[in-house]
Amino acid sequence: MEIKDLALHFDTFEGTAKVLDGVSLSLERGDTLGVVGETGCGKSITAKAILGLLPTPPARIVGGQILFKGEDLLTKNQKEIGAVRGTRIAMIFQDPMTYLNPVFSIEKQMTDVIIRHSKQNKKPLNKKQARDKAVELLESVQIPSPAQRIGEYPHEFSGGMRQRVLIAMALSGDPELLIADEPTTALDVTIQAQILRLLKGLVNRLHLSILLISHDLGVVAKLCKRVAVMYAGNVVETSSIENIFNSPLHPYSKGLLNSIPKLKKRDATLEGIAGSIPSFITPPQGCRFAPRCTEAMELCQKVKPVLAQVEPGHSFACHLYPACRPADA
Amino acid sequence: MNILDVKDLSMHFPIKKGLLQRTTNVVKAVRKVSFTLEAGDSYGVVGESGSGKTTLARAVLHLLKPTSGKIYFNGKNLTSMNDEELRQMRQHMQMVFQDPHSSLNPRKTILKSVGEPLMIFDQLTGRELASRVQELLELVGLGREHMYRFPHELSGGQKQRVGIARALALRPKLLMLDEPTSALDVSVQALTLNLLEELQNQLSLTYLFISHNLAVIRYVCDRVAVMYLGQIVEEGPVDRLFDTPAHPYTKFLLSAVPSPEPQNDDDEQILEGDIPSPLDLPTGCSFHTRCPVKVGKICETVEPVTVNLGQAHSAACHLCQVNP
Repeated sequence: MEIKDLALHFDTFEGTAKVLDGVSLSLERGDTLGVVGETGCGKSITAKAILGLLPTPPARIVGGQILFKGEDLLTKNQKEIGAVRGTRIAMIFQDPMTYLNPVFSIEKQMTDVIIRHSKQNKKPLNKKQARDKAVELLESVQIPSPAQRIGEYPHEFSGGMRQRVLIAMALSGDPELLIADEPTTALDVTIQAQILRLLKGLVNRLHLSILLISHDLGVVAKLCKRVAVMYAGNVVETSSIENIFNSPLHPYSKGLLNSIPKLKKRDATLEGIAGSIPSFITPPQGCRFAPRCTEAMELCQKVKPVLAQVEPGHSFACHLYPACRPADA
Repeated sequence: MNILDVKDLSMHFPIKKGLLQRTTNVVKAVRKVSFTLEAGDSYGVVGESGSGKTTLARAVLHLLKPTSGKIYFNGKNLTSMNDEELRQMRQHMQMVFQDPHSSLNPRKTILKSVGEPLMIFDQLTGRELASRVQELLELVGLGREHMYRFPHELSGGQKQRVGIARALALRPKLLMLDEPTSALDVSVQALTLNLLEELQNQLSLTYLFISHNLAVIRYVCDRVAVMYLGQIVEEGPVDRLFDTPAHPYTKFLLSAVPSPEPQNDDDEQILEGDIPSPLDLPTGCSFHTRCPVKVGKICETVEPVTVNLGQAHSAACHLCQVNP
């Protein structure tokens, strides 16, 4: 999959919020890419845009392409994108309780999805077959005694179990790409560790590609090989996991890493990043990070830097590196 | 001198059912917790959701009336006080809440929110009030310009600073910080933690710091208690407890935190299962249902006692008793 210069605006009463401002990401088959960033950086919006899950209006895609195996998902109509959802690209969400319907049993919710996907894949299953497949899926996400528990309702499951059910449902259409939007944020650390191990096992076994969205660099480090750092609607740096931790280049990535308290030893002082994210309605003219950046120059206020490659697989967008200056400036 | 002395504190919530409101069951949220805080300490309480850490803080402040146990604040027994005496005592112990968006009244200006305790206890008004509020806001890195704004005009980090300023208004000696940075982004969290540290030195405050984030506890606290199902399972100086944890639960909790660095985790150990319901507590050691190193029958039937491991480090586990 490849996202090229995706730009997305929200029309609000106060003006147009330029929420995504040229986001580019690429994901090879079997790749695990983590997207990290703080609140409001546009990471979830990017994920939802891929699957066409944003209501228009207010959302409006104003530029760019989302290529999935060479096909532009943005040119597809609702029916065509519906055929992609679940069967080729599936998504799991942050809060497992809000995405399961409390008044239907797990069995009903899972078999509905399985039957629908089986029709799309032109191999329709009946109720009995769908139930068998559901039990099988629950087993693959390590739910104990799935044949009995499948008849239960969401409230009878714990948070970790609900997330497992959602993962099982996401896998039911045999997708090639799994988008996980903060899949463990609502869970306790010991349960989070279980879910991350499960996802890691599934990636290896089913050769899934994963786009993991998280604010927690630790979670990304556990599951992903590559990482993209986002800030205020821009990708500011992409690299391998090793590079981002050992030699981050963008000032925002550095600041982010210097803000995380470490478990292994007590840090002297955490630096943090002063200020807060800019308004999306009147974003800074140049680099969107410039108002908070300690290394900002005059150029940064005026001209927006572009992503440029420093070495294979490692690129960033900052005027500290001359190649990031756009051609027309 | 101990500023806070908590002895065998228990907090039970009865569950009532039916027309006659008979008690059908009891949630034992905090069970016989004892700890002491010296003046100037930063004491961390860490645990997963449902471990009773927030209930503990509320029971200490008597926002909830404890079921049993004693709490001494500066040598005075809070449990035997009446409401008016408690109200006076609360000037000296304040709380900062987790969610800055819901702990500030959206219809009040910052001046009113921060100034309210000053109006009630110090009878300040007008210019006096405004100048004291300004002082407090400057203390937390905000300024005069924020005084007449409403909460929705501030960012999350700024709101949490207002929450801290309000808690400091009456010059308390003890601050209860209940997940003060959980709702904040990491870059803002770092700044807030630094501010808390500065304030502690400047105003010689004592902190009871509640968090589920172990790395934050390590950064801020001197001593830490690990809670599981309403009990303190291990307690000790931060560096000692994090480097050489004694209780199996602490070990697994520490290894479960994904560390922000590239890693090789082929030999990692993960705790299985969920936290048992506090309505139906396991017998014996409450951790035995998930414990991978349990020694046998004794863990299922006998509740372990807290063993002193030296250097102010203690843990409640049968294994520590066998080979201390």
